[in-house]
Amino acid sequence: MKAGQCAALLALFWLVLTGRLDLLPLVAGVLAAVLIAVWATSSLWQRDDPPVLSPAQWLRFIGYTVRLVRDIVAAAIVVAEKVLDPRMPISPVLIVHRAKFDREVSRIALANSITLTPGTLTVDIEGDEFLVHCLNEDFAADIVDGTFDRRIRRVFEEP
Amino acid sequence: MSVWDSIRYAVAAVLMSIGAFFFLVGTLGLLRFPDFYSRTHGATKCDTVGAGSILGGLALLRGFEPDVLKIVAIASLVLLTSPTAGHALARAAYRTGLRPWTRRIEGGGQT
Repeated sequence: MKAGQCAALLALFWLVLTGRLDLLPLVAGVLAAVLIAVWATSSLWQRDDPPVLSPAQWLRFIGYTVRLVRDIVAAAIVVAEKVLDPRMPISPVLIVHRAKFDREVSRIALANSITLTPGTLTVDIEGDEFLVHCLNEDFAADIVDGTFDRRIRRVFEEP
Repeated sequence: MSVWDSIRYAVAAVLMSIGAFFFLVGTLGLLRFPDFYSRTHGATKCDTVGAGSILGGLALLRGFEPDVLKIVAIASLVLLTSPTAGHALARAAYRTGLRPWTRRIEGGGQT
């Protein structure tokens, strides 16, 4: 199942890149996708939990992405205001945020979402502790009150 | 050119201008911010928004063609790798002992 989903993703990526449906490139691409998927699931992800999602999780992931993009745009405007303000009203802080996740992919998703959102930057992760650098304390509001955690748990940790 | 096409081109132009604006702001942030960490904010974040809206504009300009999927692939790879690079930079700086610049010192969650 893991290898199957990985192969499907890789084959889809190949199709997008080649952009045509000729027989020979298609066969070569699918063959390569299957080989890489088998190698990845048997040795690359031997010990780790592979980032495989169920169909319901994929759907929620798309919803999550849309909401994240909206948040990113909103935060980018605030950061732009601060950059363009001659007085540059920033007061950076480092905050420690604790979030307990069952899967590795959730931690990566949280760290990446924090870094993607303007104004916040994941500096370090140790166990359940995320060290986050914020341009201003207000940027951290969504992280500190656990909104991010709850969204990510809903996407990746519910079946 | 149909009305639909004109609207499409106009929206694409607006999106790409927004992207260029955020690249400008990102560069300004890189130059104006006080320390390494806040400069990383300027460099990576406004790039995300800038590259995102420029790619969105390009996709719209292309219309409904298979090429658009390539642009979507580029966008998703940028969204995946850009924060990783920013995180790697910040983490390397933090682990070598670079302290962030702050305006004030307070207790609570701050280290």
